[in-house]
Amino acid sequence: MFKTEEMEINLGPQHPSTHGVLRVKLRLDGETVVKCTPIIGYLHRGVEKICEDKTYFQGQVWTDRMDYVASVSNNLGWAEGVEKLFGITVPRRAHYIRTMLTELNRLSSHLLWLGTHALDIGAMTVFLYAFREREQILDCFEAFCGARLTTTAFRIGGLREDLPPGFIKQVQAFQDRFLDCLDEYETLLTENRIWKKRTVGVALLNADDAIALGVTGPVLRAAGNPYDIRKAFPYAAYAEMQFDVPTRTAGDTYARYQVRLEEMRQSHRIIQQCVDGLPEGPVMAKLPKVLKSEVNEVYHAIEAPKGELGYYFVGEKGSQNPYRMHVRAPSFVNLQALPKMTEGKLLADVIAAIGTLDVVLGEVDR
Amino acid sequence: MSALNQPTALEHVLITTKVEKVINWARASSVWPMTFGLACCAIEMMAAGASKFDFDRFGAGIFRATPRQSDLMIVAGTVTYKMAPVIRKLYDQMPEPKWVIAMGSCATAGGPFDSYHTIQGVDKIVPVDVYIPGCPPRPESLIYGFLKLQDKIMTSSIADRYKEIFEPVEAAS
Amino acid sequence: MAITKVWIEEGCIVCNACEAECPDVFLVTADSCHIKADSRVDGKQDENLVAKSELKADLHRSLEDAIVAAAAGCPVNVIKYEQVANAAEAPAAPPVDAEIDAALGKALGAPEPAPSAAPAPAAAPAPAVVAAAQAPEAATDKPRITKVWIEEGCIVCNACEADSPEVFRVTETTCMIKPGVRLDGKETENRQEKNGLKPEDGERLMDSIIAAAKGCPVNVIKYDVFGNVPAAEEAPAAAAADSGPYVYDYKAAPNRQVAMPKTAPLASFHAYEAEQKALAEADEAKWQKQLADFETAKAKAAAEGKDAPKPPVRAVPRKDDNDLKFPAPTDAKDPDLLRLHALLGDKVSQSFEQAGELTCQVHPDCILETLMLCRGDHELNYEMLADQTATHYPAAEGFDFSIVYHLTSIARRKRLRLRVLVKEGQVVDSATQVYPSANWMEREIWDMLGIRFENHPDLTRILCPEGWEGFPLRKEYPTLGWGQRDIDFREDRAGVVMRMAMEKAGQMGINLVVPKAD
Repeated sequence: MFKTEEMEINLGPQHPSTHGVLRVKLRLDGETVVKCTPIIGYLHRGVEKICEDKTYFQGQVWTDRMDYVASVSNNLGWAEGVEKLFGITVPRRAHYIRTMLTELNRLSSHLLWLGTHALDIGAMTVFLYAFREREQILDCFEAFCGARLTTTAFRIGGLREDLPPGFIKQVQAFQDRFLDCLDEYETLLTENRIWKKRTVGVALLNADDAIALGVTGPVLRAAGNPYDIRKAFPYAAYAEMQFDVPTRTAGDTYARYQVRLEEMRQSHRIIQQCVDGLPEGPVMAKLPKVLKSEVNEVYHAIEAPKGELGYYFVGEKGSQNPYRMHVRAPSFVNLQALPKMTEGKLLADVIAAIGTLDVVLGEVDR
Repeated sequence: MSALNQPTALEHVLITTKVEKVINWARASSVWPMTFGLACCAIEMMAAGASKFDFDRFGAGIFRATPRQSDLMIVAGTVTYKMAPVIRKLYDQMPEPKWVIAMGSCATAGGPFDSYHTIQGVDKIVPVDVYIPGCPPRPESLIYGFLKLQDKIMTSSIADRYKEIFEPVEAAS
Repeated sequence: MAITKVWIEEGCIVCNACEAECPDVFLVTADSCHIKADSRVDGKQDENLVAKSELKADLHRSLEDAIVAAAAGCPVNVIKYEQVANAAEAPAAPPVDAEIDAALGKALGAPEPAPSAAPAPAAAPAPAVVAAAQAPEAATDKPRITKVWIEEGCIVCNACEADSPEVFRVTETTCMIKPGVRLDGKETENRQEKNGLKPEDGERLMDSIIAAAKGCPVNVIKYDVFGNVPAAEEAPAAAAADSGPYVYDYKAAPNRQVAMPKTAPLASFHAYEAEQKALAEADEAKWQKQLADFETAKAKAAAEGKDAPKPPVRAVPRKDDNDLKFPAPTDAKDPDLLRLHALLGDKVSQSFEQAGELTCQVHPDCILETLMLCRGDHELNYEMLADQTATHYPAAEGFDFSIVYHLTSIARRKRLRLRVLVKEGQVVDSATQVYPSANWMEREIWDMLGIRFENHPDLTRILCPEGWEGFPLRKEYPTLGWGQRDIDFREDRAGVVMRMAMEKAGQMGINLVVPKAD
């Protein structure tokens, strides 16, 4: 007689589909996952501790390198968190430019997700297409702040400088062709039979479980809950923008794919509104050279491409450094849902589940 | 042109060279890197491999997922205390000849992360051939660093490499 | 050291800076700055430019620091003062630096200064010598820093103040040597005058000054040393490099110094209210005193038949011209906070609103009950625990950590912060039973701050590896760690390449310097 035995394997920390250095310990019965244990910390760099030694102006540099795919969102969270701590009023033009750059960054983050997720599942072509458009966005960032990835785009109180000449034209050129590109991706994937077989009904997570596990962002919206911080707690210039929050009810990988593609269309809409309605005026608030805080604590959350990105600051009286800085990283919290999504399912679907959660390990480990 | 410089009939069909040079040329032209992204630099490494920059032009576009099929380890990102033993193990699993590029300031010297859990440079873990500065380096920088590595491979000596690896082993046994 | 006279030259721009530094002496009026009547011997109130009246004797020493600071802070440098080394002496010419140095040299048994300089200390009535001679003998023969000054080019990076807060003070434009450690008691960059440090401070603060000078990114901190500086500890590393494979013994590594916080910044409406009340009372009392003084002065003037003195002007707090407005805490008015208070009663220690955020601090024993209420109560209905984290407050009284829970009500678009204060070693009920998302957050808190949670399914380290020593986000933990990161896996191959390079270099007659193991 045959005897079955459970087997334990390690996925990662060096594995091409774990998007970095995630390690997942899997207990398998044949090809079925019995137990899934994510192990993190392979990229723990002590950002929270480092930021306690830095001033409010300096600390933003480290936020770039947490979610390095969406560094502008991280910068925005930091800048707005500090502004809330000090009670700084930011000029309206700065808000518009911040919104525009953050949405561009959401596009570049979703494009990277689309390319690598498709690559993991087996569709190589999309990767090359998505990176083509992503390079165009990075060129815009480079024109604005000189860096492609680690932007440190904003300053406390606004922006360091106004937009460079020709920037709006550059963004408009990207805007003009991007919707066609999105249609191109859809022809490659949306009705593709292999793609649907690998994604429909895979890695299910319903809305109640998602909320209980703290999951936010596209993963929550694909399960049917329209929670978007841009709408729920508007920040920057989002209160003045017209856009929809796309939702699906299936809560599977395919629904998340649809939600993210639709979000890209909405981001495109927001960028167009920013370009068209960009107000005139200063881009920087009047601030003293040295910012010394009062005793205060704030939690400021924004909608990063991955979900709720929160910054928690504790200010000490007369100090230029945050007494404590904590980041509520969306990837960190979303990754908790991985066992729920994969246990009892097939091994091959673990890859799809990791891809669809869209985790960035720099943010998980900080 | 004088008659002396005219190629003879034989030289039209034959090229004379050293075995070492041929081997080095072959090695330098098909370096297969390992897919080894650690942090931010990995995104730029991916960008270097993708449509705009096309790393494949230099024979290095075939990213392998396993160390056993790779010649080059591009350490792209911050090396932490928890990750260090893994990197060493992966390096040991790569077959000779093997090379290492430390991409970005984190892999070179710890970068901006001067903290308790960050190793200050991957050269404490594995020997490094080329260091690329930048945070993160642009894809062009990675390509330039890779071209430098090709130069290094072209000038290396097979005999020396044999000695440097096996002499200590022989001496120990 | 003491200040006997202070006066205002022409050119005051009525900036209020001096009054902020030293309200007891300066009074900024509508068009000029006055030296207050009650601080002067002659009892008048004007710029004191002509009369040069003396300060009252009891203020000579007590207000010295404040006057010096005010003079240094004056943007147009119109505040002048006369300073003497010893208040008991008659006001004499302020001692010049050469005298002090010479006097110090004598007191320390250093070589005599050049003969040309010798007559100076003899001629001067030597209050400085007295001061120096009183310095403890033990301080004299030990190595110490005699002078420290800042060259041109300070980038105002604050590094020196972090290293040695007793010596350096970073202003908005430059770095100053603090008056407390200087012989002349002034606060400047000490670039031109090169004034000496007090001997006992020079010895006590030697390490920190050297550290600050080394840490200066633009190397503008310079100092003079008396005696031998203890050599930096380089010897052990060299010894380790010689003996076989290099292994960093991190337990023996010098424990890096950590500047522990002096305050526990806990946002609280009660504390804020009390502070504001005290400030307002002090301000009012000052104003009443001014009014009373004016009345007496007026009555006196009327009795003597003189002109009535100018009525006092109430100092208006300077309004900063910037877009910064500190969000002050206010009492709880939000229905959620009121409901929590109604449901929990005494278990709520305080609740307030600040910057549009609701904070409710509860007793640690009832945190589970509170969380259940927040999730289950139909009026509260906070479905999601967005974030949970903790902060270490070593300087606090009665508690060591605060744990904060950020709850979100998606349906009602509201956020609520719950806060509990716990002591070292105290075990808190895990929130995982109510909110499963607390699982990893509590693991992170255990990993980073060492707070244990009861009934947690798997309370193990999450970011740092198992067996990590210490809790990194505690304040006593240095940012660079306790040396764990200094591991070294270089072996065979790298070592062989190095040896071969050395051999080859030796054959070629090149003197290669061995790089240190680290």
